[in-house]
Amino acid sequence: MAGLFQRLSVRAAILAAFGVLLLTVGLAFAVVWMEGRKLESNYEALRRDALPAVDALHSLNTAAQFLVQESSYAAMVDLSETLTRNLRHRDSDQASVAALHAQAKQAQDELLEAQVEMARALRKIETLEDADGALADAEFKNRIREVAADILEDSQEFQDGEIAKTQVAVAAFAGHLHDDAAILRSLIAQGLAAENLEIASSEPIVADAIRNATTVAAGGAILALLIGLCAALFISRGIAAPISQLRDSAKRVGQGDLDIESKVSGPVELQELAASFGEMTRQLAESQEMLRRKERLASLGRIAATVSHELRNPLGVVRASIYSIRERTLSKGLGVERALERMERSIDRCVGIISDLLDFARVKDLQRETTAIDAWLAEFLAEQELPEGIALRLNLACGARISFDRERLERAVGNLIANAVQALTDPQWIGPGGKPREIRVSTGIDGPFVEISVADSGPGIGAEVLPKIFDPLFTTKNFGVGLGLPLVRQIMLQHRGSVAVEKNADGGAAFILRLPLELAEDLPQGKAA
Amino acid sequence: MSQLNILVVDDDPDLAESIAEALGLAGHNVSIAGNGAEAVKRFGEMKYDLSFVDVRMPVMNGVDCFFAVRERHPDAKIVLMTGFKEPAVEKALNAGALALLHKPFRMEEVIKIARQFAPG
Repeated sequence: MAGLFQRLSVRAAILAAFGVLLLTVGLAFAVVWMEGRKLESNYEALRRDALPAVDALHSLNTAAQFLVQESSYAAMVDLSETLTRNLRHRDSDQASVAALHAQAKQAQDELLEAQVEMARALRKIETLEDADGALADAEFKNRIREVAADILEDSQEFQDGEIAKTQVAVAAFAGHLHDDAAILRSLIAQGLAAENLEIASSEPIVADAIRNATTVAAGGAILALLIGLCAALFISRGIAAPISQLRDSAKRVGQGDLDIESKVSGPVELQELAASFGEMTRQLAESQEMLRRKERLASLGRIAATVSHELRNPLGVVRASIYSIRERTLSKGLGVERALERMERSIDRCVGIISDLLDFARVKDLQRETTAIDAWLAEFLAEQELPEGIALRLNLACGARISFDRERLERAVGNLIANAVQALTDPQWIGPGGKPREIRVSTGIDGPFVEISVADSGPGIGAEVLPKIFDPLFTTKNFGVGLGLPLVRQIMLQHRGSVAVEKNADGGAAFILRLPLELAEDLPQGKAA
Repeated sequence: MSQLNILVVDDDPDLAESIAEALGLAGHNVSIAGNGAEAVKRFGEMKYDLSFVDVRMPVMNGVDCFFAVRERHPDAKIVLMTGFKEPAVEKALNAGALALLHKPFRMEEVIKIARQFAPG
């Protein structure tokens, strides 16, 4: 789960939670709807099959009872009338005969009505389309129809006067009707029982549907609860924890601790925020480091200025005194001449160190002059006095005129030449093995740069030393403060150029100074940026 | 080569003395002053053919000293000496100071200048 949080964004997580919630609710709705549809169709089937059959059977039962009752009654009334009419001459009660006649007439009418109803009920049974109820059985249906048709037929026989109007015949007729009615009733009871069975069979379907709907609703609710819990967990662990981690980091940065772990685990947005925060802190540390370096250089500059002034007077005293000693001992053969020369050389070195320090520590504004590189370099190199045995070979062919500070660039090239000479005259070096000791200086154009290359056939620069050669105060020499190459780099950077070092084909070192061609003469001159 | 009256002005007594010694060995008559005010006073007492004046000094600096001396002795020959690059020196050079020596200079330069101004 925690791993998932680290890959998930807050927006994606919230959207996903909402999506799952919606899906759950939608699914629950779909299931409940489907169960509802099932119930509906089940009811539809019942309505179509079982209920009409039940209705028809009930109707037939009622109609049959009514018919039997009416038939018996009509027969009885008819018999009574006949009997009364036969007794008329004896008792001559005209009024009761008329009443009985009216009664018989009415019974006849009602019987007709019952017959019509019976015929309608019978037709209902015949036209019933029962797919799977009791009346689907054709034999069973036929039996019902036959018994019912018998009752109707018998009743019509009586009406047509085919029943003898005797007590015995009427009683037999009524008995016969009642028997038929009993058979029909039992048949109808059978049919109804079958239909009720069918109705009862749909009960499990209804119960099933209700149970399903309930389960789905409850499941949906539990799932929604789980999703809510996950979202809460995600917010507390996935968002709150990294935020407090970031807050702690910010507090530490505020207290000046810029070495912070800016990676947090959590959603993508917070990881990005942490990365930005880390980047900001890194830049802050960088600019602080730059500021510290500037301050270091500035204080180094102040110290260098003070020290160099304070040293210039005593060095002047020593120089003047050497002069006096030499003057006094000249042509006296005291043998102090070599000692005096050593002292003078040492003073020269002290003066060199002082001016290196001052040059490096006090960054002066550039005094630019538009200059033809090749001619300037040829002239400057012609002034250099190289030790015996070291050849200088030139290939100056860039043809560019650009604007730069000649004095500063002479210093840069001069430092490189001095380094080359020192490499070629290193007493610990076994020598070039038959090859000439030489310094090759060439110029050319490389893209947007003018290149000045100073290469020597010396021993080259060791791989372990190479990364440090431009660091201030780093030196491999027995004497020297290690400011020569840093000063070269400073001068090139001031010109918005660069310095790089390569290995020659013959194993020596090759330094390449690059000056941007945009310093060409058509550009406005002035102070360096 | 004839003898010159030379005044060396520097607040560093060792430097003043060593320059004076070297010039003395070259046959010149050398006096020493410790600051600009003292130099001006010396100029009032006697005539100097040439003087070497340090720029940074207490009481009165070399440039002020140059102008003070030139006010009374317009033909005074003064060489300035310094260990710094100072804009004020330019004014003095434009106003007729003979030269500017950057410390620590070689005594040969000093002797050469003295030789240039030795009459005859």
